[in-house]
Amino acid sequence: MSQRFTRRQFLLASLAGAGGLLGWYLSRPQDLPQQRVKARHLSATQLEVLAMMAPSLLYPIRPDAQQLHSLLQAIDQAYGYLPASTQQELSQLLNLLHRRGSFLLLSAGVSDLSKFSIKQRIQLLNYWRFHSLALLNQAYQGLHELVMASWYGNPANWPALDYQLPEPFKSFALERSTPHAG
Amino acid sequence: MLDDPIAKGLAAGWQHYSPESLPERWPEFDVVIIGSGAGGGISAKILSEAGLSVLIIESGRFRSSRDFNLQEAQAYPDLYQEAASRKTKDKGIGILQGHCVGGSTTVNWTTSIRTPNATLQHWQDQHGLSALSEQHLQPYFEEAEQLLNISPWQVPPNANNRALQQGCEQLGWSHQVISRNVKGCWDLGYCGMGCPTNAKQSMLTTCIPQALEHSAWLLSGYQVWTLEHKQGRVTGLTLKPTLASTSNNAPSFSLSAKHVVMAAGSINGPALMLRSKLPDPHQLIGKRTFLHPVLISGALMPFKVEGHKGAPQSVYSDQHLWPRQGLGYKLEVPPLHPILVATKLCGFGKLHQQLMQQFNRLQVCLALLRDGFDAHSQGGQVELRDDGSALLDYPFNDYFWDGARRALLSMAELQFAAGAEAVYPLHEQAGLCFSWPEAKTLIETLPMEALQTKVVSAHVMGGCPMGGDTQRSLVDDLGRYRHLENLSVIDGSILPTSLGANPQLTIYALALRASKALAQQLS
Repeated sequence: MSQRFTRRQFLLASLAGAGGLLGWYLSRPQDLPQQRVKARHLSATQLEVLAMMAPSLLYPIRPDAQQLHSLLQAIDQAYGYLPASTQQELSQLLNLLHRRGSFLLLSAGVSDLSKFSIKQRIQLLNYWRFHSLALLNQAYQGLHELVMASWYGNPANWPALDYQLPEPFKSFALERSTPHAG
Repeated sequence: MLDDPIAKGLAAGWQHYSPESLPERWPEFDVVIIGSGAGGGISAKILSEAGLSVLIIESGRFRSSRDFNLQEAQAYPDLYQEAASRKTKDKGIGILQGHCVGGSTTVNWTTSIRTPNATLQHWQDQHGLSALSEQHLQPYFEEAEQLLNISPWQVPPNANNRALQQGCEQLGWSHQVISRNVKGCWDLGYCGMGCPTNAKQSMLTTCIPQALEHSAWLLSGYQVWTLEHKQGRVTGLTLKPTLASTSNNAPSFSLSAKHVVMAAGSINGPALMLRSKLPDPHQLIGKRTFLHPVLISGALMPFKVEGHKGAPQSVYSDQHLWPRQGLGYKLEVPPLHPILVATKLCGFGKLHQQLMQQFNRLQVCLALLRDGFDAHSQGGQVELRDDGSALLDYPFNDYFWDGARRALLSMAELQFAAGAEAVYPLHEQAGLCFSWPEAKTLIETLPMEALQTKVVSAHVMGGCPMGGDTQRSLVDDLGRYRHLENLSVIDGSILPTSLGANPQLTIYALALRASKALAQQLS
């Protein structure tokens, strides 16, 4: 089953794999959760970009509005923990993705992110993932890490993994969820 | 409710300060120790027990077992450098390193292995460290093992480690039981998030409390930003608060000390030296920083592995550690928890989701490359960002990638020998392989490149090399800085190469030796 893919083969494969996604547009900006994400670190436009990209990274998991809200909240929190230099890099990436002109450069000539379907966003992520430019690989991996950590760090998403905390600590762990300062 | 000795000690009056609570004035200490990990913790204990007045400065938080809730989402930002997102300059290597009182010993997986004799021999032959023979170091290893209750793990390995053992047995490869620094371990598997039962004999639960009992002071949440120096002596330290959420009104300030022990670890320690423009006539600061770069191979087993349960590391193999040519590597396994697995698994989409759904059948092998022993393996270079923070440039070369490819091959072969249904070498352009020949063909043709091949590290060493040659080393074998008379460096940054073994026990032994000599000198 495994074989060495060329970059082009990967792009074709991702296109083919995304064929079944037609019609699923959950992550369009208008589908942002009604309840506003209380972001402390990310701007509204940055959250908008993340609301479009995060479900593409998680697909075929399809977060509902509440799950997307929790995910964006967790991403905002995780972003706040990052050192200033990393925040700056991620912030620049999210801002670039939001601007039509710069997005053209990142997307190999396609219009703007909000007009992308989910399959096009998946294609874009794979374009970055396998590109020969390290900068694009870094953009992909930065988003990948942020989204995967925020999704799988949430105990509400653990049943799909059948992952549980050790029995004596289940309730104890919840009690300890807010550490003391020091 | 479990006993919390840290909370008890604080209630009993330990001298602990933080950005929220600073003393009215600071006395002049005999020794200021920068960092509270393996080197700083041991030094604090030895020096305070010798009757010296000691201040330990730790840039991370002072947490204890009551804070450890077994959740990665809390532990990584709370206890790790850069919220566990630290990376090399080109982002080709992710680095896990502790950032809390106890340093990496608070979050490591308790693996305790003496420095391999071949490594000590290499240091004697190539780095002029004639004093550091196996025989000479033996009493220090024994003392550290007694102090931290280090002994071979007697409980049967969990299925993740057992697969490593069985693969080795099938292939006739050598393998050993790992010794661990634990006392009354519950065999939970959450060592990386801080031990919730205080079973881990880390610096947090042993030497730091012992030092505080001997009147040492501890300041957490402050980073030593520069060392002031004049006429061959350190004359002062400038400090800045580090905890963003609490530091808005906390002041920066300066301190002085008769003697300074740097134990801030590789990367941050050399960065402090660079910011401080310490005398360095041969331009060695930050160079030769080593990582034991780790390659990863995932496997799907036909049985439940549940790699999050049980002692994270209890078996290792040195079958490929000392090859005749090229980089050697040590084989171990990691604990498997959701964030760690989801972020390291390459790719996204259906395969990623399916593997996460098979979470409890995942077995994962690690190959730690033994860097620094060859002219082609010079490690990385610590630099400063514009804001003065530390950054490690660790370039790859063909020599590295040759070792990396052989490591992926060995792990796939081992996992199939252990009964894997499928193996997934962690590389962006790899997929699931369903037989050893298929995996071999794939791995032999994968383009070995940064950001395509997954490389991580949890062992940061070097950057302030110890040695016998004054032109090739910054400190002697007791950690004494060659160009400032009242500065010692006692941590993993003095290692002249990587080790070929998890570093904590080496650092404990060297720190016992160096801090005892320092105590004698200062007393």
